[in-house]
Amino acid sequence: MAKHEKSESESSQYSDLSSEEESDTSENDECSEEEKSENDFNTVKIPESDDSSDDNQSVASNNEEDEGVVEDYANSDVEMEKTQLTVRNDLEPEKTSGNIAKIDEYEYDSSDEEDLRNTIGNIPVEWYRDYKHIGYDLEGNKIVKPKSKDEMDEFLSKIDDPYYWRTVKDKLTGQNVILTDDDAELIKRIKKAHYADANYDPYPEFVDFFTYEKMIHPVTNHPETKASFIPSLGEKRAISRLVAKIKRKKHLDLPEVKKPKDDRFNFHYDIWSSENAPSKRLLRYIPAPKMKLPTHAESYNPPPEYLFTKEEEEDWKNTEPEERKQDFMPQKYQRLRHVPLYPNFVRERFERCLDLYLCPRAKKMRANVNPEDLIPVLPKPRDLQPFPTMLSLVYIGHKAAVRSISIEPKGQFFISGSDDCTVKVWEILTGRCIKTFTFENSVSCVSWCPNSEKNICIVSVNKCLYVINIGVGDKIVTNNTDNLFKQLIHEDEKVKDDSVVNWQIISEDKEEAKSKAWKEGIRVIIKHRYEIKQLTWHYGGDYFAAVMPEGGNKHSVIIHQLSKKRSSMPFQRQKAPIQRVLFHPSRPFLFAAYQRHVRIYNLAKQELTKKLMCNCKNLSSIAIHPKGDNLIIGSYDLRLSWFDLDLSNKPYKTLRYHKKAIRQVAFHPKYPLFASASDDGTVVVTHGMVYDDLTQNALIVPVKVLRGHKTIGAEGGVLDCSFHPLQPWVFSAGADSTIRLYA
Amino acid sequence: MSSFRIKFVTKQEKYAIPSLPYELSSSAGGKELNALINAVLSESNAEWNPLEFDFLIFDQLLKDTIEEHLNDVFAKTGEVISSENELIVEYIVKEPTPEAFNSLLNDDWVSCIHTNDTLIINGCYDGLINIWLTNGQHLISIPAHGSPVKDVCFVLEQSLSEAGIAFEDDDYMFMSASHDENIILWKFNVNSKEVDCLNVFRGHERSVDCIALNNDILASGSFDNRIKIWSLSNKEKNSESRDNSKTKKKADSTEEEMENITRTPLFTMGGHSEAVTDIAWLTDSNSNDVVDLASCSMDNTIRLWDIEVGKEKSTLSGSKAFLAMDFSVLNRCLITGSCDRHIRLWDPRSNEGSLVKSVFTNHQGWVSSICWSKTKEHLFISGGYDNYVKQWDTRCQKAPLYDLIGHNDKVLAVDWSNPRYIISGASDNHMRIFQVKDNNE
Repeated sequence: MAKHEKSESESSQYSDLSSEEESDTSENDECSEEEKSENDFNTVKIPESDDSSDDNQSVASNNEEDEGVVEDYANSDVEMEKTQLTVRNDLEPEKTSGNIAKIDEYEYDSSDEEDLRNTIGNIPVEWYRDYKHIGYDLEGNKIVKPKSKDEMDEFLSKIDDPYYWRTVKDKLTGQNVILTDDDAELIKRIKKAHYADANYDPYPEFVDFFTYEKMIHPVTNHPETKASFIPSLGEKRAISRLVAKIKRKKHLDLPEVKKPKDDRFNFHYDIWSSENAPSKRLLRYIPAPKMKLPTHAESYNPPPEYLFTKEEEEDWKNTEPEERKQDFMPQKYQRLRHVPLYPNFVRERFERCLDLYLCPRAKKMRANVNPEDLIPVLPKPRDLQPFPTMLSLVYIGHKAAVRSISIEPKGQFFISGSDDCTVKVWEILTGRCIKTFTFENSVSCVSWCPNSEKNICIVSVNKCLYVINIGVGDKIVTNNTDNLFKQLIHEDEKVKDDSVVNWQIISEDKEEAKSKAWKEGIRVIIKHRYEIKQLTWHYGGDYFAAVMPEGGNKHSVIIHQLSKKRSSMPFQRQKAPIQRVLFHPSRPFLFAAYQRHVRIYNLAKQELTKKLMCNCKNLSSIAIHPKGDNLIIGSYDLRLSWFDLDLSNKPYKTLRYHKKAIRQVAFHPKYPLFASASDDGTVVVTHGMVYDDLTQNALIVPVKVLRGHKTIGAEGGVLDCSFHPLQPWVFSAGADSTIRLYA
Repeated sequence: MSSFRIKFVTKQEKYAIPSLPYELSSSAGGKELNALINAVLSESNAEWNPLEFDFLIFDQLLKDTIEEHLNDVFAKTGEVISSENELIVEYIVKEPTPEAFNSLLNDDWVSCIHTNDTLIINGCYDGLINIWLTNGQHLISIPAHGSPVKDVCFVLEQSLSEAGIAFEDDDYMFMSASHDENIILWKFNVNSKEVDCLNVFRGHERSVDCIALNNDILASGSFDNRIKIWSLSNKEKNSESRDNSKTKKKADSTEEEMENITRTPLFTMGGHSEAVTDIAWLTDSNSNDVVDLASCSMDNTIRLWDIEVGKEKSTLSGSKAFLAMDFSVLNRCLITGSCDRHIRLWDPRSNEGSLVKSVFTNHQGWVSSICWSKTKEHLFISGGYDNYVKQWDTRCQKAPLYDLIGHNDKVLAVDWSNPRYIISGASDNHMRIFQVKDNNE
């Protein structure tokens, strides 16, 4: 707030400056106050008013007319009286607010004008502390300091004066100024960080000079300069210089774009990058094919060679409209204006439109995939050795198709059962037939006991099951086996005559027929009701199962126990006939293969554990991995399915490499190999590695197709296959009456 | 086409020619060299009968042209031969062709053969042992075993005397091993044609596939994966068996007799995980010390055994099951036939590098039997399931010297113990004898 007190002053400033007492400043102040107040009233015409509205009016009127000032003055005088009254009551009644400035500072106030009522300049007021005056007014008179109050007065006025809180001291004049309500309001607003002027509207209605509305008269209407059409000469030179350099293959010293020093601290995110990219719809746009441009023939005035001769015209007229080379006849007009309306115009436009919208112009999204990438990466068969690779031995001796083979657990011999009613025992290494057993009927299945402590084979001939002491190999084992059979007789003399199964034990010294059978090696004959199709041993070598698909619901599977001469029928009611059964190599599970699925039964708990869906129509064979967690199933519809029993009840992998029905599948007991024998005369050997690590799936790689067997008739390729228990060799029994060894 | 300066050398003194270098085209083969040598020899000797020679360049037998031969030799080492250097070619008189001499029909498959100077014995699959003179005259058939005979072996007189077995001049001793788990020592008198069963060696649990004699020590390998060592000598055993017979007076006379002649093994050596298919003593002609034993098995290994300790000394690993093995005293190498088409030459003394010194591939089936020449260190014969008997030279891996044709089925046994006769037995029941002439005669 600018100070504008005009005070009476003594004669010369300089004398005052030099000779002034220091002690009586307060008194002097008071004196000067009194005087000043009088002076104020004399000199200053503009009264102070507490009323803000009045004040505003006065300011406004002040700007307008002198008359208003006069009026205001009179008006404010009255007001002054009021304030003085109130002030007087609170302060000293005699010295009516002598110390208080009475002038409305706003009257003079304008931001661009310095307060010149005190001419001391921009010096600290403290320098005048020892004088009675403070500087000089415009006329050169001393501005006398108002009389300053002492502490007591100050205290009293603090209590009594209702205006004390709004009294402020003006340093330049030393007077007290009572702030008006306006001032107080102003201070309050500033404190609250509002606009100082209460009437100031920070958001006035915006009147745009240039509007979006199109006005009749544009703001500027001068035409574009001619220069803007002419390429700049400087640019042209610069460009030609660059071109010359390019031609001379010189380095263009273009200003280098500075790269940011460290990318880590310079992140530039183009948040609109996706918006700038052309939309997909536009990218996929394919322009419509253009219409053919007219040639000379279409001209209204074509050269004469384009015009039809009479024959051509005849031709043209006689051909079908679709077959014509041109769909119009060139015609000659002298002038363009002679050309008549083109009658086909609308039709052609219509056809064009039809063409455009009926023909979809879309890019065909073709996946560009290298077909070799789709093939999984498999190790080379060479790295997966050993596996059987070539035909090594042919066992010749049978006269009809060999149905079944089974290898001795020690790997020196194997037996084969054939349609020529014989079972032969062969020495593996030399291909020598050691023994031959002859039966009345064709042999459907043979199986060597997996327990090497027993020298037992079981052979199924039609409805009979023969248990044979094979009599090769270790003599002690052979003798022990015979003792075992002798015990059977002693234990239970009476022969059970079951309607379904009939056990007949052959003893050494009985009738001639039987003793002959004994000499041959036949120890037990078990007669069944139905034809036996398959035999399988339990790994312990005491139980074996016979499968009779014709046996219907109840008798399709019979499990025999050799040591107790007992037979049991595990399945009471079966909806479908069982084709094959298999014992788990280590756990009490029995796999029963039906035509389309495999059921796994827990024999210990007498319950169904799992059902495997094989995805095939006619299941033919089943084999289990020696570790017992994986199963392969061959089917007559050419498929071989690998099941991971822990993984799922659906095939982990289905292989289809045979051209005809698969007859038999087999696992190697030692090497990671399995084989499948098929009617197409081949045995396919596949590497099937099972990992102990549960997270790793089995690796299945077909490694070798073994050929050699002749196919005979519709069904007759390889009928059975089996692995050597120790060597990576596979045996195959064929319908061509041979057995082949691949090593 | 380049040419070589060739210098001919020979170890056979009587065919020596002046050591002058000859300039020869690299496309020259054995024929040209042969003609050259014969021409030079006929110049010096007017009565020269042309002979056929074989040529050795860098210790390899020349089969085709010199250029190809050198390429083959240096493909292995990676060196390059320059035509500047003098090429030294050694020439030897060509091995005479074995001539088919006789074919003897047996009743069953011939599984094993052994010869000495005068006799041939063979074992058959019907359990018979046939004895023939080398000229093919059949002497006797012995129903020796109840099961196929797997191996037969003559006992040398010298070892008999060591073992303290009494014998006369016309007596021949031999042993046979069979599927019936027994090994039997027989005595045969040529004049009286009498056969005696002297001893039965019992102890194996499966068929005995191979036996080998070293003096009076017998080693046998069986399908039960074990090797058993037996002694032929009667000295200690006899007293024991007599004691036994005293205790068992009530026993049958035949049984007693059996008891008398039954022998048990000195000790058993286990280590093979599969059947032992062949066995050989690593004898040393110079020293009479205790020698090592080598055995090959279906478990793809050859094991060398220390007989003094009765333990395994070292193992040579192959990739296929072995079927046959033989050891040559002359070059101290093992040669094996296995369940593939290849014949492999092993050096049992080397410990480092590849143990297989060379591979001979010409058979089309498994090589079931193999035999070294007893007189020539480079020669051996092999019999395979492809019906062929082949004569090989170790210095020529590419091809055999001769294919001996005649059998119509798998060859199961070959023998060249008598240097004059190559004898082979096969599953066509025939035993064929090929006569080998000695080119030094």
